[in-house]
Amino acid sequence: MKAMQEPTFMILTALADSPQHGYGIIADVQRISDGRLQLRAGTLYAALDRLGADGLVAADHEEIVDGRLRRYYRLTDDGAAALATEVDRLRQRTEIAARRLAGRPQQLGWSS
Amino acid sequence: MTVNKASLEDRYRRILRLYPADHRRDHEDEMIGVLLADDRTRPDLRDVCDLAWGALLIRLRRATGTFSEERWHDAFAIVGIIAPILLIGLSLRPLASNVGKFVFSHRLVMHGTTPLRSAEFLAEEELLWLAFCAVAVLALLGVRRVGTVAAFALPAVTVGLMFSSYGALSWQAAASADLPVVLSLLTGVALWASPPARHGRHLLGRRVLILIPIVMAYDVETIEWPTFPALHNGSLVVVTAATVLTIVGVVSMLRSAAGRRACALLTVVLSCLLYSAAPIVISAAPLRVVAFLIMVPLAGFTIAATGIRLLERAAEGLRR
Repeated sequence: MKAMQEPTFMILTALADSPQHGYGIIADVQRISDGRLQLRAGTLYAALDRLGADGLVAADHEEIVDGRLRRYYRLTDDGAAALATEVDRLRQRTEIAARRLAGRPQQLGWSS
Repeated sequence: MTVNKASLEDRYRRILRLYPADHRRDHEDEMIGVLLADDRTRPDLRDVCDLAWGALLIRLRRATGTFSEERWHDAFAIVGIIAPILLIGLSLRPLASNVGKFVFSHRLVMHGTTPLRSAEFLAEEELLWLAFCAVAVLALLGVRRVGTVAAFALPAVTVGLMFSSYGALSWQAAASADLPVVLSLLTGVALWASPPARHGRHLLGRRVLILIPIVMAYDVETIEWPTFPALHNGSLVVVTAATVLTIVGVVSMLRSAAGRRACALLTVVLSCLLYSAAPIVISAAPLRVVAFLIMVPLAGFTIAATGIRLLERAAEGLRR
């Protein structure tokens, strides 16, 4: 399986615990990434189109707010499995990195 | 709604015309909602570029069909394992037959009888089968670049030999290479389109073990006399066991989306097999090559892929 791209990972993470509408996903991704990743509508809906076709997300329900349609998206079981696989992969990498950092020789005080 | 907001909405709707009609029908209103959620008076340039990029991505997805889907990637990875194993089976069969006949003919020479086939002819034909085996081994070892080039080059060489009047390959031998040519091409496509071979092995799991007895049974049943005459005694048992194992393997694969797509891809081989067994087979060389390499595989795959898509849509409809 190919490594997941960051926007995909973030969108699936945003949908992991509850369904969200488009703007909700954008705001949540910004929050999760500490403002580092700012999704825009074009990127988001291209990603949702691909993830929907891959069966990783699906439309959940719709509501009308201020006369405008809001469609909520949810993570499917396949989406949850794909996210869990990616989380495991990232965890393995970070554990290796942490182990190697812990084994790094201490720098001596007099070096600048 | 203020005049500014209405004007902004009109501008965004004009930009959204870049999107395919079906996407606009399903998502235009909610995208407008997202775009208008921020307090802007005119479209942000980055938003415009992002919308154009999104439209391009979606149109490309529609244009290239569904082959970029993860399920198709996985299907190609599965086929990248199955096709080379079948290719090895198909190539070993004539190789074993020829070696057997060669040994047998030398025994006849020793007894003062004319050999069945010349050693030179056997060597030339065997080179072809060994080359097909090499392609399959490269694919199974995950040597993608060299394997892909070899998997496409070898069929080209074989077809060239079929048409070459001075070719080293007899028409009979070339004609029997039809199926290996198709399998080699399928292996090439799978290597080109799929992730590494270990992913295919991971997806297939223990099911890959079913393939080996099926291929062995096929080889044992079709190796020509006089190589292993004793092995033909248990025909019915071997064929039945191989058929049952094949059905078990196919049913097991049909349970996953990637497995179903892999089955659709393997229909290419099945349709060629059925075509070979059909009472009306085109015998003229150019038409035979066109039929075998293009028409029959394409027709088989199209029917299988369409069938799978319709079944999945029906299942999805029932779930809703």
